[in-house]
Amino acid sequence: MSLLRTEGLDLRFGGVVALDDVSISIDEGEIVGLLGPNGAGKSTLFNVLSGLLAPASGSVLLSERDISRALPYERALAGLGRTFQHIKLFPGHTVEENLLIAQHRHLRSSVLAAMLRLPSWRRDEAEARDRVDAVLELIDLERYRHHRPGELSYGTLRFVELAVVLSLQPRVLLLDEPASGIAQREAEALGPLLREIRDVLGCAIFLIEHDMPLLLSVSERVYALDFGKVIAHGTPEEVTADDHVLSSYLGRTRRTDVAAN
Amino acid sequence: MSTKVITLTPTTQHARRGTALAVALAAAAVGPLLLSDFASFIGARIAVTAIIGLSVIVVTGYTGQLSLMPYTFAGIGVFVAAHTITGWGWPFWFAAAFAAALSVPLSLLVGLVAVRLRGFYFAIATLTFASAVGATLFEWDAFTGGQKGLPVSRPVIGPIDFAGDRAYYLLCLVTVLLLVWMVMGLQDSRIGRAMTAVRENETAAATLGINVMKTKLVAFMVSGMIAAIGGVFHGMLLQHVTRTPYQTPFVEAVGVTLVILVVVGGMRSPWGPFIGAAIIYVQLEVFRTALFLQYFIAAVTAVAFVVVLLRLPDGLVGLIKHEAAAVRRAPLRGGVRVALIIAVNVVVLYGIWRLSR
Repeated sequence: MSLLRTEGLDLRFGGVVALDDVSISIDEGEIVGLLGPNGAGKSTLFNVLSGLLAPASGSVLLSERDISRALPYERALAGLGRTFQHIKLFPGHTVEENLLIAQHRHLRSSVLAAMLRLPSWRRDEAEARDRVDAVLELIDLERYRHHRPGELSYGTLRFVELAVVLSLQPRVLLLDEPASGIAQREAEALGPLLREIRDVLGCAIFLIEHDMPLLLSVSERVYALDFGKVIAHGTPEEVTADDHVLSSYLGRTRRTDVAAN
Repeated sequence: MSTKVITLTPTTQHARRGTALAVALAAAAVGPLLLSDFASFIGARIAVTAIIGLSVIVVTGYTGQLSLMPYTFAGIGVFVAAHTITGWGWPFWFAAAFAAALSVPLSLLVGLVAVRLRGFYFAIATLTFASAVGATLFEWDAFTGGQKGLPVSRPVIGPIDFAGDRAYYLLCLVTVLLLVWMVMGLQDSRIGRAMTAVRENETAAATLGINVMKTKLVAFMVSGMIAAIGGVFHGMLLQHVTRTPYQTPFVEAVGVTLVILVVVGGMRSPWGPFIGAAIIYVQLEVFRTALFLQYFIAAVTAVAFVVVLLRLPDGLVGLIKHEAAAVRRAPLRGGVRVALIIAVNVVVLYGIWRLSR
């Protein structure tokens, strides 16, 4: 049984086809890559999965439950976590506070319990702080605990964002270009880290990434998207050998690489 | 500037901060009592304004929604106090709880509409509702006592009579401290964090499982309850209340003035309204008799406000925290600096006050 599945998602922006009959499926504990050139509809698919965009037709199923009409926060509560291509953090809060905000799903205490500092509030806060400690240790961010996002480098912020979404303890983790803007050495460490996250949290990971070596080494399966359509899917080896993928994506990457050099 | 200079461990820092706070509070508690009945009345007015200002902290400071109807909810508290305490002989704390409960239907009604709006539109919606409630609920003579208004008595608890200004000041001070403590608890909780998250990034908050609309609605309702409680104490402070301040155009004006006061004090801290109210009311009383200075003072106040907006986004609370950090880094230099700032202000205020007699 698949954990996250879509059936025939369609979406147009005016005359532009953003998603064209997209059906994908991710199993429990699987790491799946999503590749495609810029404008292929990768982030659009993530936005549809997380409920920020409504598809024209088609459905999204989490554990075979139709969540197509669920609001973004309801999907998060159901266990769908995501990061953004452009990092979204809470700039007025420290790293620790950002992680505490993300604990919302696991906490229960009421307004009155907090105002009167009742035992239920104390238990909640102690648990939240324990989980923050665990995540900071897992992602190795302890030394930035009391820093605000504005004081940290872009690369570090990528890891903070990862830590924030892990605090949600999602069942499916949607990562939108986690390696973009970070140093080569950090990007190389990301692959093993993603596997560790999967093993520790037992969550599935769906990954958009332009860093091909990272994407191909960490993913167990890969979907390739172009013009909003799934043009190939299979193991990394199968997909990179696919003619459509070669012409639409890998070919273009090679050309830009040559141009850049 | 290196951060290594701060060598205090968190626990001693907390202890010192606690000591400084205790000293400041003791001074606040004893100061007006030593001066005069009138000073105690002003003290009580500051405490009451701080309670109503706390409602602004929750909805505007934490959640980022500008509500201009704090005095509409306060008005409910004011007239509830008149009926229940004076009319029906209820104890004041029960009247406060009742006023808070009565604010809920109104905040729910307004909130369900307003939370769908953002920024300007939210502010305008609350302004419209403030005007509408003033023209309906507060026009109801049986509730507000019509043109003549209603008397409100101050409480007697066992052997203690709070009728005098000094005793009433202490009651208000204890109440505002209790409410500050409660709002601080809220700030450090699931819901308080959801409020500040919504203020900073609604999309990010939603993708982390926070129900943005519900969070705004809860903030608005908690804010209404606090303002209604403040209204009960406001009624007991004035001892005679009329509907006019809670109707157009006054309700809008005092609402905006309250927000200004909270911004000056510090919008992100529960202490902000207390400090803002203290500064503004002390200044008002000192300058009240100095009529020859009134235009000058208006100009200085305007400039001071702009300076706060530009340089002190966290208001005077931010300034106090900043100076406290300076004292911790270099006790002697920082201490002299703080003493100098306080001395200059006291001398200037006292000088104007003496000159104007």
